Amino acid sequence: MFRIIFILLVALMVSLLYLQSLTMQTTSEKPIFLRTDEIANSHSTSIELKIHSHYQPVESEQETLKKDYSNIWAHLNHLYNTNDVETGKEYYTEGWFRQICNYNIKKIQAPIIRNDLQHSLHIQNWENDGLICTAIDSNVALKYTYPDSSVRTTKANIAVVLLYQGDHWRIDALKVISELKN
Amino acid sequence: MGCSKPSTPKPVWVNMADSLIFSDAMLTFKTVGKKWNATIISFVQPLPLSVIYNDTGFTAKPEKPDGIIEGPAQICLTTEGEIFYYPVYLINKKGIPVIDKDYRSPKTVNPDSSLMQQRMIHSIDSFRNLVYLSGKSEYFFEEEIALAPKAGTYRAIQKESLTSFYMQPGSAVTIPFNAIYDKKQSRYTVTAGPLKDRYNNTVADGTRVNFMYSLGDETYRTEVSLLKGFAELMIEADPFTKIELQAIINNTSSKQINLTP
Repeated sequence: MFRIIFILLVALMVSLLYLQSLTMQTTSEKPIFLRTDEIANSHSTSIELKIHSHYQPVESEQETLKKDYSNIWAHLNHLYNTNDVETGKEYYTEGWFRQICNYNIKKIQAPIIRNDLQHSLHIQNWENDGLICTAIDSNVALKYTYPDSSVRTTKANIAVVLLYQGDHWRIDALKVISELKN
Repeated sequence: MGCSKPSTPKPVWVNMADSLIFSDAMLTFKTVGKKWNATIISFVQPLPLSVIYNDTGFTAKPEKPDGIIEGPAQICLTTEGEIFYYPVYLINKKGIPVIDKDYRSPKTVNPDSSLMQQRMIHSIDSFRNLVYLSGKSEYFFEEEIALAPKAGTYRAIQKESLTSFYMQPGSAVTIPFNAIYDKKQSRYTVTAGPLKDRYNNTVADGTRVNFMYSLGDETYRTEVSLLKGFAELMIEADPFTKIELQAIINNTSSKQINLTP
């Protein structure tokens, strides 16, 4: 009799453990500080800062902004080529991320590869506490490479809003003021 | 621009336009064959189109007719290894709701230091496109504004709680206080208040009021927290000893009073 009760109890415990394991959420995604951002690391561009704002970022803030803005463009180019909305999410604000996920979040291999070669970032406004930056990225040199290896280069003027959230700057809004073929 | 020596002739974009309202896009192409893929590569991301064939070619339209991040784009048609491009400028429909952004810094203003606040404004539409500020002729605007010195919680944009900022009360400019003798219990009830800052705001709750009083040769210090502008202290009375009493908050001191039963 005791043996049957013991077996039933063990069976009940095993069932409970099994059911609990089904409800447990597992994720293989590492926290951001443990991840290596290959896309950002393999990206290089030239960024010149020109400050017109009333409040001015100190040198360390300027360096952070340059580095993060470069990373933002690495991921914007990756997004342009693949529609991979996930990989660069650390450089997007929630509003921006929602917008790029709005249409279609399937990865697509677009035939055109875009590279940003040069930026001249004119800081228009810098928040006193260093959390908001509005800027005009003037004469952005963009290179589009087509599958037949032909290349098109353009110069663009872009207005951007960047917000400092979490550990870095993120893109929140954008306006392509112009893009002209070289 | 196209691949060199295409074997399929480039489809003719019948209703060709320089700019395209993405949500309404209905792109008609005259071509042969029925194995076409269509994508619009916007300035930000590739957006696949659905293809509907007809007698003369096909029509491509957005899978989800919604707003997009505006800018220069390429319509990209592919068939059996051949790719054809058509430059276009993507725009959204007119009349999209515009969201005004009004950022303030500092978020907490103390009138003891300054009433000035930085205000940064810009507007975006619901698809993250920056919108020209009406009347300002620019995308971004910044100004320094002087706030009214009335303590309270305010919002830069009324309906958005995230735009809240705070005007704190400043520090007390004078410390009025009095003492009442309770003969039955033989003690004084000392009350400091109402404590106001220089703009007549009630000084913040929790502000420490130091009551310094001397009984004979000994001096005592008691800290009392301010509540609704008042701080209260009980001191046992000694019929044979005069009590000298003063209230102090940081660098502000009250006048000294002498208590005798």
